[in-house]
Amino acid sequence: MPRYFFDVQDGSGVFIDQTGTELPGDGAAQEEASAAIASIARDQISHTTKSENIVMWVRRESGGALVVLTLSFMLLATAAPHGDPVLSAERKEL
Amino acid sequence: MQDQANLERLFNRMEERRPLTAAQKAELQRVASPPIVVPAKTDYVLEGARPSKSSLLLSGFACRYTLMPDGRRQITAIHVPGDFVDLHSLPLEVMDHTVASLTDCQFSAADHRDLMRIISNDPDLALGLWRLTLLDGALHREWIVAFAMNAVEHLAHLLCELFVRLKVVGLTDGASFEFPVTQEVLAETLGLSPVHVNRTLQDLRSNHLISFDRGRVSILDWTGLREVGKFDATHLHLGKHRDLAAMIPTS
Repeated sequence: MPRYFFDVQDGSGVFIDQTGTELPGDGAAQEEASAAIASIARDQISHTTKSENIVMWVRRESGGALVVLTLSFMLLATAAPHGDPVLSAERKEL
Repeated sequence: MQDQANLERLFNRMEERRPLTAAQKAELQRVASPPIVVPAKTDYVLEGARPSKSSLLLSGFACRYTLMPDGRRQITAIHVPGDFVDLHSLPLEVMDHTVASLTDCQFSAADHRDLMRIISNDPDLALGLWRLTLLDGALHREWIVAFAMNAVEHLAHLLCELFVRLKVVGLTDGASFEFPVTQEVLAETLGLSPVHVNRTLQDLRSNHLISFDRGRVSILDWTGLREVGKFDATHLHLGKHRDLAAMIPTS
């Protein structure tokens, strides 16, 4: 099986993948990249108090980039344009 | 004459809290088959099977896993030498998961009729065997809790736990232990993608908590790793090794 490398840049720095992961082909490598970026984002974003950008580069062992994925999380400080939604009424127990 | 199974690791586990008598050890030795060699990555006891014997892991690493409908494998336990991988098949009869070797393994099998005889004749030993299955349950509970952690915490927790379990059976060397499994196995254990596991290992390494080299994990900062993994060994019900801080001497 071909080996793919997944480099990541996120709030905690740049991670250059040196071991790589064997996958059946390009399609599987893209799926793996999507799963990994979503899962990394979950950990990065769940406790953050600022905006985050995550970028993942997928490289083939044989050379050449396969795909680049980005995921952006934006934290906006301003109030929503329509004012504060009144949630208290709906926030009753389920 | 065939080789006798070396039950030292099992005795280490059973004697962590209270000693076995020489007669009890001899009785366990009598019912344990000679070693059975199983190559790496082999399904050894299949889900749905009705085993007539229970298997004790003598050497290597094994796992319990469940295959999900989409073909993914969720590992629900990692076994170290001295663990019975399916002692529960004695009272439960039908396996609700598969047992597979992760590395080259040796097992010893104990016939269920022999185990039933031990249970009827020696309540003390029966309690000891019961205790082993209860410890399996405690480990599963801890793993459920660990699944609520983030990737770094979860992996740190797993490595702390493996270290302590291997320490109990004498398979650690200072602060390091052999754990020659692939990132895929860690991914199937932690419920993460292999790439995320790879990234997470790198996090632990760059924070100088562990290093790993050709299947050997070395703990560089035992206190730090336990803090990251929120690791507390209550669920391992330790006796002789209850002092976690003393487990790795600080030089």
